[in-house]
Amino acid sequence: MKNAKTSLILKTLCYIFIPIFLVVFLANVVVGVVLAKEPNVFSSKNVYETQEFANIYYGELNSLYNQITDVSRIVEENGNNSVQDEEMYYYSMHYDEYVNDNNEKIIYNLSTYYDVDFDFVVVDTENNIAYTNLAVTSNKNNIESLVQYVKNEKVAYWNFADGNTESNINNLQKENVAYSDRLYEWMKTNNKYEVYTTLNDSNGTYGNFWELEVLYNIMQPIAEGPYLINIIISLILLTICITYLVSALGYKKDHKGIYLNWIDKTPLEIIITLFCFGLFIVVWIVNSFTSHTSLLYNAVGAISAVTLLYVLIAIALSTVIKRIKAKVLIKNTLIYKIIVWTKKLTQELFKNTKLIVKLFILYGGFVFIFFIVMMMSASYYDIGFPMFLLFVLVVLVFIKLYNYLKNLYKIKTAIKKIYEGNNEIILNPEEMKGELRDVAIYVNDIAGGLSNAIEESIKSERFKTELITNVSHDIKTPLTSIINYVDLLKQEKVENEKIKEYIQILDQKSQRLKKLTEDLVEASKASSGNVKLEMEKINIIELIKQATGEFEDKFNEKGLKIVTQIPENEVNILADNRYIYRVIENVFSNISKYALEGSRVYIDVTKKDKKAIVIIKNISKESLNITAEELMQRFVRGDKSRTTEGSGLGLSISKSLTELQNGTFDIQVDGDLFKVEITFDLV
Amino acid sequence: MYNILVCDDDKEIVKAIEIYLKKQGYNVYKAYNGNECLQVLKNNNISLIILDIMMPEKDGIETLNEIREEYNLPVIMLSAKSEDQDKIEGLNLGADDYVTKPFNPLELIARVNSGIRRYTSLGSKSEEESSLIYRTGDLIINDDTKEVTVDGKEIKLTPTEYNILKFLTKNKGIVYSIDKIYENVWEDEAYGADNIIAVHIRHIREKIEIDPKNPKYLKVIWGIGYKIESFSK
Repeated sequence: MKNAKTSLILKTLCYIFIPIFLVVFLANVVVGVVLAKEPNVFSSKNVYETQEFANIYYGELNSLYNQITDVSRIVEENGNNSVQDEEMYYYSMHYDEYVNDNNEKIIYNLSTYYDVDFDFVVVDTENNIAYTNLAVTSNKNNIESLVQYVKNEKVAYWNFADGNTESNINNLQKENVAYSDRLYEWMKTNNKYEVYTTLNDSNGTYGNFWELEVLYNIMQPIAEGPYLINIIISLILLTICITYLVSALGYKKDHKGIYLNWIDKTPLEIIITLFCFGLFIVVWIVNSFTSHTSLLYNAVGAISAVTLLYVLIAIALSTVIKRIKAKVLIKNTLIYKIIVWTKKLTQELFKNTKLIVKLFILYGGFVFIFFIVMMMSASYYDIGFPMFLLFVLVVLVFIKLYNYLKNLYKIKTAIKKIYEGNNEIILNPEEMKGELRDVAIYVNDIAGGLSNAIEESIKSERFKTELITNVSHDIKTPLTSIINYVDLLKQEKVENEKIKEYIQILDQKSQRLKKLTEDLVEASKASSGNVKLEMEKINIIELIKQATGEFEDKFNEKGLKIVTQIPENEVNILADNRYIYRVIENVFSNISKYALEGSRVYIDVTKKDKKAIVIIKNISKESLNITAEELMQRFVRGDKSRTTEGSGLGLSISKSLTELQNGTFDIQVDGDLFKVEITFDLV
Repeated sequence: MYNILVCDDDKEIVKAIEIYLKKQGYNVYKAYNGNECLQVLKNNNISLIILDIMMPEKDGIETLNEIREEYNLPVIMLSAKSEDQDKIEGLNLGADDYVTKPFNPLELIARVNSGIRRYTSLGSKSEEESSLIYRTGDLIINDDTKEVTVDGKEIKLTPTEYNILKFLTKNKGIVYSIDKIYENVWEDEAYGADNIIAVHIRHIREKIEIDPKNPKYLKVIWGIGYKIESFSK
C-alpha cells in the first residue's frame, strides 16, 4: 500500500486516464440524456435521415426565403447595378451581378444577414434572374449550368420546380410545409420561383449542419453501444483514479511525510494568479481559434484549449490537495508570511526596548488609529463604517487589557503561593506575552530554586540526623561500661575522701554525657522532622494538670508555687500526646532547674481567634544575658547557652516538636522574666 | 539459686552485669555471641537471658528467634537503640522486656527480679481467683486483703492510691480523664483545676513500675487521661 502511494507510474497513468474516463463518462451521459428525450434519434443510418437534420434544413430554407425576398426587391427596384447602399448595409448584403449572352441575369456570390449553409440557386422564371451563393465561372455562366451543378450534388438536396418538391430528406416534401409558413409562398402553384438547394461536403467546414453531423457521428456509435454500462464503468474508474490520486498525492519514494515540490512551495497567491492567467489564455485560444472557418484550426484550438485547461486544473487541484495534506495551505501564503514576519519584527523590535518606549509606541499607535478613525468619521457621509472600525479597536484594546490583567493575576497568585511556602506552582509562560512572559519565567525560576534549596536542606538535615544517631549508638556502648563501673566504684568502701569526691564527679559527668547523647538524637530528629506523629484530640487542661502533677515534687523542692488560670471547659487541639508532653516537660524541667527559688510560676491557658494559647511565666534565678533566639538556637550556635546542668537542648527540641505538630513555640525574655508562649489551632 | 545467662559482645558490660547479679545471689553464665548463647542455653538449666541486640556473627534478634523455637524462658533485650520502633520489634519477636543502653544497673536488676518472679510464680496463684481479685498481667489486686502485688512482690499503697488503682484495674484498657477518675473514686463532682489525681497517679507509678517514665501497667495518655494496660494472658 505504501509502495502504491509512491509509484510515479500509477500517478502518471491516473493523470492520463482521468480526462479519458471523464470524456467517456460525459459523452455517454449526454447520449443518455438525448436518448431519454428522443428515443428514435439514432435509429437512422446517417445524419441526413434524422428529424434534426430535416429541421435544420427547413430552417435554412426559411432563411433562404427571407434572403431572396430581400435581395430580389433591391435588385428589382434598382434595375441596374447601382445599389442603395444604406439598405444593403442594413441587410449586410453583398452580391455580384452578371448578365450573360442569353440575357440572363445572375446574382452570384450572394451573402446577406441570413446566410445559409447549403448551395442554392433560386431562379426567377418571370424575370430570368438567378440568385446563387455559388461563384460564376466559365462553365457555370448560365442558369441551366448552375441548376445542373446543384442537381449533381446528391449528399442532401431539396428542389422545387413547377409546384413540385423533390428531396431525399424525409419530412421535407411539400405536404409537410405548413400553410402558415413563409416558405409556403414559394410552393404555391402560381409561384414564379424555382428553388434548387444541395448540401455538399465542401459546405460544412462549420455551421449548423457540420456541428450536427459531427455530433451525430460521435454519438451514434455510442448510442448503439451499452451506454448505461459505460456510464457506470467510467464513473467507477473515474472515482478509483481520483480517489487514488487524491490519497497518493504528495508521497514520494524514500521521503517521509508529504513531499512538496517547487510548485507547492510557491505561495498560494502566486499560484492563484498564474492559474487565472492560464484561464485567460484558454479563453483567448477559444476565441481566436474556434471562430475560424478551417476545420484544422478549430480542432487545434479546441484540443489545445481543453488540454491547457485540464493541465491548469490538475496542477492547481493537486497542489492544493498536497498543501492541505502537509497542513501548509494557510501557512504557505504571502498574507500569512507577511503577518508572521510583521509579528516577529515587532517582537524583535520590542524585545530590547525600554518599557517606557514600548508604552509610547503602543499608546501612540492607539491614538494614531483613533485619530484616523475620527478623521474618517468627519469626512465620510456614512458614519457607520468608521464607527464600526472604532468599535473593533475598542474591543481589541479591551481583549488585550483583559488578557494582560488575567495573566498578571495568575502571576500574582503564583507569587503568593511561593510566599506562603508552596513552591510547586509553576506558571506556563507560553500562555503569556511580552513583559509578563519574562516575569512568569523568572517566577518559575525562583520557585524552582527555592524548592531545590529546600530539598537540599532537608536532605542534609536527614544526613545529619543519621550521622548523629549512628555516632550516638557507638558512644552508648562504652558509656554503659563507664556508668556501670562508676556505680560499682561507688559501692566499694573507700576511706580516701578525695577518691570519693572524684567518683562523685565521674558519676555526675557520665550521667550528663548520657543525657546529652539522648537529647542530641532527639533534637536532630525533631529539627529534621524525622518523627512519626500520631495526631489525636488532646485536651490542654488535662495535659497541664497531668504535667503539674508530674513535676509537683520537683517544684516543691525549690519552693516554686504554681498559679494556674485555666478555662473550665475543655480546650482541645490536635497533637501527638507523647510529643506534646515532651514540649511541656522540657519547659517544666527548665523551670525546675533555673527558676528563682520560692517564686511563682504562672500558667495561663486562653482561647483566642480559634487558637489555644498556653503562656508559662517564671522568674529566672540568674540574669538572662542571652536573647530568646540564642536560647533556642543552641543546637546551631553552641556557645553562649551552654549550661552546666542538662544539655541545653530542651527548648530547641520543644520548639521543633511544637512546629512539627503545627503549633508555634515562642520565648520572650524581659529582664528576669522568662516567658514561653505555645499556640495551637483549636478543634 | 537461679541461673542467668548474660550475652553481649562487650566483655566489660557482661562482667559488670555479672557483678550486680552475683550480689543479688544469682548464678551467672556468660556468652559473647549468639551461637555461644544457644550453646550455653542447651547445656545448662537457665532461668533468664539478658541478650544484646547488636552482636557480631549472629545478632540478638536472630538468636531470640531461635531461642523462642524451643524455650519459654524470660528474655530481656539489651540495646543501644532507643527508638520506639526497635522496642516494638524486639517485643513482638517474643522478648519479655527491653532495656536501653546506657542502663541504670538498679533498673536492670529490678527487671531481672521481676522476670524471675513472674517465670517461677506463674500459675501458682491462679486458684485464688475470685470476684474480689482484679488483675492485669502480673499486677494483682486482692480487694479482700487490700493487697497489691506486682510480679509477686507486695506493694504498699495509701488508701487513696489503692482506690484509684483498683478503679482503673477494674476498668482496665479504658482511658479515664482526671475529672472522671475523681468522680468515680470520690463519688463526688470534680471541681476543676486540681492536679491532686495526677500527683497520686505519679506516686502509684513510682511504686508499681520499674521505670515510672516508661510505665508497663499504669499508662499516661498525655492530654487525655490514664489507663491500666490490659494484658490478654
